[in-house]
Parts: sequence; structure tokens; C-alpha cells
Amino acid sequence: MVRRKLMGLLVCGLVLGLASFAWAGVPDPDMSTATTAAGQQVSVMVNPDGNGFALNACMAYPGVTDVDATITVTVNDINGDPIFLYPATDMWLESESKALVLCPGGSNADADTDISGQSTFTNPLFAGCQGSGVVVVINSQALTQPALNMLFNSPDIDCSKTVDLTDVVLFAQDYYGSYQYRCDFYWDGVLNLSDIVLMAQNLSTGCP
Amino acid sequence: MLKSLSALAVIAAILGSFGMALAQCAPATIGVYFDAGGTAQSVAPIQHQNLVMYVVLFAEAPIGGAAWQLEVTSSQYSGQLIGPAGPNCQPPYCSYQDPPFWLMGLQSEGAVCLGDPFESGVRQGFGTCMSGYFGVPILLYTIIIHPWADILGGIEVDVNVVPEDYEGLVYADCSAQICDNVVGLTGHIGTTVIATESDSWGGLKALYR
Repeated sequence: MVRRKLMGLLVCGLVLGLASFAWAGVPDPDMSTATTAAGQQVSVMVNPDGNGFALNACMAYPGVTDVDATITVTVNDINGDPIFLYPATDMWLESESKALVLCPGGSNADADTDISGQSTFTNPLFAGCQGSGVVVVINSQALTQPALNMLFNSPDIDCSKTVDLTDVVLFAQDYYGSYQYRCDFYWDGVLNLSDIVLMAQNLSTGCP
Repeated sequence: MLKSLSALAVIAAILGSFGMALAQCAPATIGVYFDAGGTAQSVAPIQHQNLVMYVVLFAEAPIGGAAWQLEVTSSQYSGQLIGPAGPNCQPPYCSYQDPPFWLMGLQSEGAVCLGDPFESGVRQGFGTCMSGYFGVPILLYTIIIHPWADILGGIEVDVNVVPEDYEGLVYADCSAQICDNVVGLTGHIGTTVIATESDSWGGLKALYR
């Protein structure tokens, strides 16, 4: 009887151990984290051709340039152990509202994770549309932590992944109308010549 | 010793920031010329012969865009000087209530341009970064007008570059920074010859380097 119970316990332990072993090396959205270098809300102008602001040179209000908002992600498994060499292509950024439209691979991490399970996001995004709140997605699962405090806008105002005449029309409407953040690419609280210049520089561009 | 060092540091910081401000925002002119090279600031009109006005910017800086407006004045004429031909016009004849210069064409340089030169002012951005270094003229706008009336009778017209209503007289560099140290220059249409330099403003500056 005792031997049977011991055998049962052994089997249970083995099953639990195997399960734990099986999940080791698999990113866990609760145990993984993402942080931004910026201590304040930042605005990032993105563009489908990647000609927007890099995350280490974005804007703070009002009109403060070159703000470092590099995102550092730490990929841990269910045991809290860092995962080494997790592929960059399986880590990407999305906006909390899911309004940001991404070109294929348009917001991937800079590199595979290092020995500490860390990687960064600094490169300009290949994306359009507008959004707020950044969520880091690993292996198709969004991290469960609160979204990072970032705003996005783009000369691709109509979210078509190209910057064309439609966007110029929308830009002109906003320019002569009430303030719209979506066209305030140079984030200073007004639509002015700076925004026209950024709109013009990105006209006729699209995903690579 | 410490006090003098800190004073030096303050002076260096002030000079540094001053130098940075200058480096970021080179002084500029926006003027009306009668050649694209930005050398002829006055012209004698000939009846029924189109005149081409060029709005040209000079700045030793990379140029991303500009905002400006034109104001047309004459001490001899109180009505509208440049405008579309009136409804009663049967070219080449119009009533003398019509503008003495017909507006024949407007062409903006740059990828995005909002507004117009005479009413709301122009705000324009270039698709590619333009280099204004070494006195190179940056063409902003081309305006074609047609003197239909017998204006050789003595109308002297000044076409002034003035601050645009909303933005002011400004240019933006290629990183979209707005610079407001811009001087507007006047173009003159009339028989009175205004003494002008044969060289461009940027070219003149280069002589003194």
C-alpha cells in the first residue's frame, strides 16, 4: 500500500517536472517585461518606408527633439529564467489600440536576445496610421504588463500603408480645422510648417 | 580660482548656446526676383508681354520648406493690382476697374503647398532636402502675370514679401526646425529703375568669406 502511494507520488513529481521542463525556454508573457528609456510620454512619427523617427530620437511635448525612448525587453520563461537567442523576428511592437498598421516585419526587435534574455527596439518602425500605448508582443502573445506610454502618428494618415494624395487631403483638412494630433508629426501642439515639411518629405512612400 | 573657472564656464556655455543657435538657424532672405537665379529685383513691364516673378530664398542652410506671403502696393493705384481677368474682359481689352496685371499662372515648388501667395499666404514643404549653401538660390514659387493695361503711363508697383498670416515669415530646415530670422525683400515693377546688385545675395556673402 505504502509502495503504491510512493509510486503515485513519484509519477506525479515526474509529470510536474516534465511539464516544467517543457515550458522552460518558452517565453512567458507574465514573466517577461518591457521598459522604455523615456521617463515621460513621447511621440513617434512612423512611416511605411521606415523614414520616421527612431525610438532613440523621438519627441516629447512640446517640440522637444531627440528624446531617447529605446524599449528594452527581457524575455523570461515560466520559471523567470532568461531566454538566450530568442529570435528578433518573433518579438514586435503593436499599439494598444491596434490602430497602428505595420508593414511585414515593420516593428521587429533590433536583435535576438542576449545572454540576459534582453533585446531592444530602437529602429524606426515601418508602419502607418495612428495609435497610443505600446505593447510588446512575443511569440504572438502580448506582454501582460501595462502598455508603454507612447503615441504614434504618421503621414500615412488614412492607414493605407502608402502616403499619397488622400493623405495630403486629410492633412490639409486637419491643418485648416481644429487641432488633430494625428497630423502633429513635430509634436508641439500646433500644426505648422514643421508638420508640412515632414508630410512633404514622406509623400509618395510606402512599405518596402 | 574656482570663481574665475565657473565664470569662464558660464561664458563658454553662453557662447556655445549662441553659436548653436546660429548654427541651427542661418539668416535668410526671401525675395521677389525677375529671374530664377535671384539677381534681378526690378523690371520694366511691356504691355501684353508676360512677366515671370520668382520667389527665391537664400540661406546658408539645408531647406525643408518656407512660409511667406506677397503684398502688392503702388502709390499710383488704389485698386487690386494683380488678379484674374475680370468678367467684362475681352482680351486684350478690359475696363480700368480690372487689375492692370492679369494673373496668368502660379506654380509652387515642393511636394506639399498650402495657401496662395496673395490671399492666405503660402506654406510649402519640399519632398527632398534642398541645399542653400554657397549662395545657391532656392526657388519657392513662380508667378506669371500679364500687363494688359497701358501701365507704362507710370504705375510703379512694389511686390513685397511679408510674414504669412499664420506662420510668419519663416523657413524650416530639413529636420523641420522653424527659423524666423528671415528678411523679406521687395521686387519692383515699373519704369523707375531700382539699383540692384548684379550678383545674388548669397554670392555677395561668398565674396566676403
